[in-house]
Amino acid sequence: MGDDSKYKYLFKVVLIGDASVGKTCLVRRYAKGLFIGNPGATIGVDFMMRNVDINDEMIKLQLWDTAGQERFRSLTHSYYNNAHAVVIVYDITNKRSFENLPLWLDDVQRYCKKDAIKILVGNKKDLNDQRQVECDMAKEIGSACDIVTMETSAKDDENVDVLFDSIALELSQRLKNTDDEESTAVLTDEQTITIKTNNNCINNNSEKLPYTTSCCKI
Amino acid sequence: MATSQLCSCFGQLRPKYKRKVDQIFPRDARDGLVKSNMDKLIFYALSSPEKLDRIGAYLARKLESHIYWKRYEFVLITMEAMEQLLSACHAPDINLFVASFLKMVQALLESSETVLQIRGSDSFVIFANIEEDTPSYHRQYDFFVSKFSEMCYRDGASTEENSTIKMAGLRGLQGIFRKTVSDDLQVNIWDKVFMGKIIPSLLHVLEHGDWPIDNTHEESLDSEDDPCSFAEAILREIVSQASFGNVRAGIEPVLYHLDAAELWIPSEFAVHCFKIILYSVQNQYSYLVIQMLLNHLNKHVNSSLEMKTNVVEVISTSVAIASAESMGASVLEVFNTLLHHLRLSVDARSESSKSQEAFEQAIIKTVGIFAQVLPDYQKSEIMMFIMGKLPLNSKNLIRQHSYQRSQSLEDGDYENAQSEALQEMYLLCLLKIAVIYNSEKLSTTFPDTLLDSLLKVSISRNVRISKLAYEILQTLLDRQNNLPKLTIEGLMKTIEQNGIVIKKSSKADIMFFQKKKDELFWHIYQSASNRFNTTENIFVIYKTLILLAVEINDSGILVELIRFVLSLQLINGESTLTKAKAAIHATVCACLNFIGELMGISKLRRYVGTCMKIRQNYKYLLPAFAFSEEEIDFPQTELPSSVLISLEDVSKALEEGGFETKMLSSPYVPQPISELPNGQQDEKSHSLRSETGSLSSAEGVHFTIAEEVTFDTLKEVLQRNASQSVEGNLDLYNATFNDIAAIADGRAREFNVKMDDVLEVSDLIIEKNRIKEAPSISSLPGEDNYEMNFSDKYVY
Repeated sequence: MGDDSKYKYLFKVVLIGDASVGKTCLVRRYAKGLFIGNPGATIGVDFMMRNVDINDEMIKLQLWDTAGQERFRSLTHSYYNNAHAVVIVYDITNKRSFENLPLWLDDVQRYCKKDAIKILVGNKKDLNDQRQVECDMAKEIGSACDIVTMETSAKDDENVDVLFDSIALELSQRLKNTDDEESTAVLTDEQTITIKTNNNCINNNSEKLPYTTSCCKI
Repeated sequence: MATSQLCSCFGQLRPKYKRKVDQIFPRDARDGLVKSNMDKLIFYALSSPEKLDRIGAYLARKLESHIYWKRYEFVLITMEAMEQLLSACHAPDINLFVASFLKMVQALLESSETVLQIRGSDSFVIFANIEEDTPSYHRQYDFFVSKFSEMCYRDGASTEENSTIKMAGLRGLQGIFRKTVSDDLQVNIWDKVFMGKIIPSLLHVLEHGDWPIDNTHEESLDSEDDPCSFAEAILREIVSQASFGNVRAGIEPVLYHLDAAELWIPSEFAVHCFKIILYSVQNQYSYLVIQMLLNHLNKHVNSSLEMKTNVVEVISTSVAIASAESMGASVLEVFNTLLHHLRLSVDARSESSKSQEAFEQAIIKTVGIFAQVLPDYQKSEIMMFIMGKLPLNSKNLIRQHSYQRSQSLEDGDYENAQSEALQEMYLLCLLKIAVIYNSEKLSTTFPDTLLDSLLKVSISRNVRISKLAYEILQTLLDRQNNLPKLTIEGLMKTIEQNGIVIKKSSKADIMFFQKKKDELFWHIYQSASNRFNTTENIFVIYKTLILLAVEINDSGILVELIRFVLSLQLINGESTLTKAKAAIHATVCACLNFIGELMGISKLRRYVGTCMKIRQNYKYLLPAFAFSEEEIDFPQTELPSSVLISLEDVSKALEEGGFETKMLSSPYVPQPISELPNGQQDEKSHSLRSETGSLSSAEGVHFTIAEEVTFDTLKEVLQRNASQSVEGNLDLYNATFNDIAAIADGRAREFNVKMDDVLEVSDLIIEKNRIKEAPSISSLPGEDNYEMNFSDKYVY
């Protein structure tokens, strides 16, 4: 039929972070390939879809773009808890949004599944001249909390695909591993160990992620 | 046959069900579903139900490809076919078919086209309405809940489209709820994951619609089209379905949402929400909601006052709706929480800000509303509970006031002010309960602890507190609803003119009064002598006295009351006239007039009348003027005794009316309760509170115990003694034998009291055991057994 109807996995990805850091733009860029300057504040939550072909497998990503405003917190919290991956976004030209990260990480800790993938994303990389948050600062937080960090630009379409595609890749690999293990009926900690070691190798150059390597930690 | 086989051999390569499905699609999408072929498909599916699963899967694949190629008309046709199949087929096991159906709905919802999303929600509702025989344990509604909730937040450019999308989302949510709530084997819709999405979405829609400010509890006509009223209907449905374990799950997101979206201020929306909830929740669970609100208040101890005020407002509205059901097992806990917040607020009082006051008023109001739903016996319990919480700081009671003043004023002044403020707040709560308390028997209305602490507070030096205490006392006393009829204007009017209802009192009430009169009288006397009194305070005392007379309408007791009232004239006799003092004199007049009428002694009334005439030159002593607002210049001289009402004249009038006047022969002398030797009195307070200094012996010798005696008290004692001895002398000359005996008896008692004190003081230091014997040595006749012991004293 030549369509995309046969997907192998479906993953839920939730974007969180302060208001106006560019969550909606990131999602739109990825799902529709567009950049709309000022989309206005998200009300409640927004939904987008995209299918990705990774290693000849169709993977469906449900992207839940939450409102950053405090007054929707009651709703957005409930969207975390069944997400497979959480993207915590901050604005590199806005120190405030970076300083609020601990609060967001706290929320993630509290509401998310323990094995959800977490990624820290500094958006608006195109506005490098107005930068207020240095790359190293984010890396510091990242390594302290065991979270992969990267910087993106929705406007210049930089790293956006890398971000989401690597999420898809990592999630599907994880699922495959569990599938394999289940099929051999051997349940060990080996899987987690292999991923860990894998992560350690790439943690240092996590800013520029190689497309085919996993980028995430447990 | 052969040709037909040949012609269709190409088609024969495909399975039959696929051919059937393909045939329902028209060449041109505008023609719509091919009806006849659709019927054939349904017939086929019904006759061979084992093929149903495959038909579903095939249709689902077709749908997805249509969506992918954006052939939206065909998408709609596919859905129509699927729906028809779904409603037509009642195969015992259509789980797999339903799975493909849901997959299709999901595909529609995932599309970014509004039309398809709405179509998806409609189809889901159709699915939700069919009944399934076999439960499907593995079905997931996670996506649907998330997506339908998301639709409720749609905020596009066109309002109309937003509204349709919101309605579609709401319908979907309703569908999911209906589908799952009745079946325990399905997913638990009450899970936090679901309710956390559904409830905030409903509230969001509700908030942004024009919900009616005045909740007139009527179904809106356009509930079918208006997302706001539809959201309200769903909220009602959800709450009404909640069982004991689920109420919490349903309400918690509401509270959370109101917090996060800061919807407590202003309070209208929060009140509206909880009105919806309280009207819908099953009656027996109302108290859970209220408990949650109280807990929420506890959680927000440090939040802004405005927010807390509004939470309290919501609580009071909720209680009013839930009425009797709003009380769970822990009645005291509820009041404890409220009082605790009141206390915190008073403690935090820096400057009297408006919001603070509003918060405190809101709590007091809520206490009243809570109390309203309680039965009487519990009200009484609560009153005692509040009384028990009342800080009875002896520092601010009158008797020590002068003493304290001679020390240092700043010392603990701040603390005092706080505890007074707290007292005032608690008393206001108490008043709220007292107002709705339905008093029947005085002895049950006033348990010892309640009356005692109430009286203790009544002599507070803070006149506002004292007044409040009296108001509570009056409210509880007043059983015939006479209180509002006692006005300043009606002071000298007749009982009938004032419309006061009078009933004969019961024996139990008289007994009660006999037991409590000493305490009552002493405390009233003390509070009347408070130097800070205003005319208002005196007026409440007047009202209390009148109510006492009305409620305990017994001639013997009324005579005692007369005796007491007369003694009030001597209060603060030494000082120059003040407004309060003039008001006391007026009160005496008015009370005697009233009691005279009550007892039907015209002579007494006439006597009062003559007194009033004499007072024409001292207008400020007349009831009509004493309580007026006017400023009066009082003469610096003492009042001539002629304007006072004399005991003899009153007793003469009584005697002629045929009443026993023995009682009146000796004037009332205020005695602190601790001095009255009665059985239950505890020895500790007896020995510690030796205030006997205020009493004087007939011989004019003053035994005063060094503690707590100040110039003021001494002066008071001297003054009283003088007036007493004058009256005593008069008695000796023209009184009957009985009177003299009575006076002698009084002396004996005083002597005994003195003896008692001397013994006590000496024993106190040496050995405390003696103290226990002291009362037995003196064996004073109490007021109760006065008559009985009289014959013994007669010999003396």
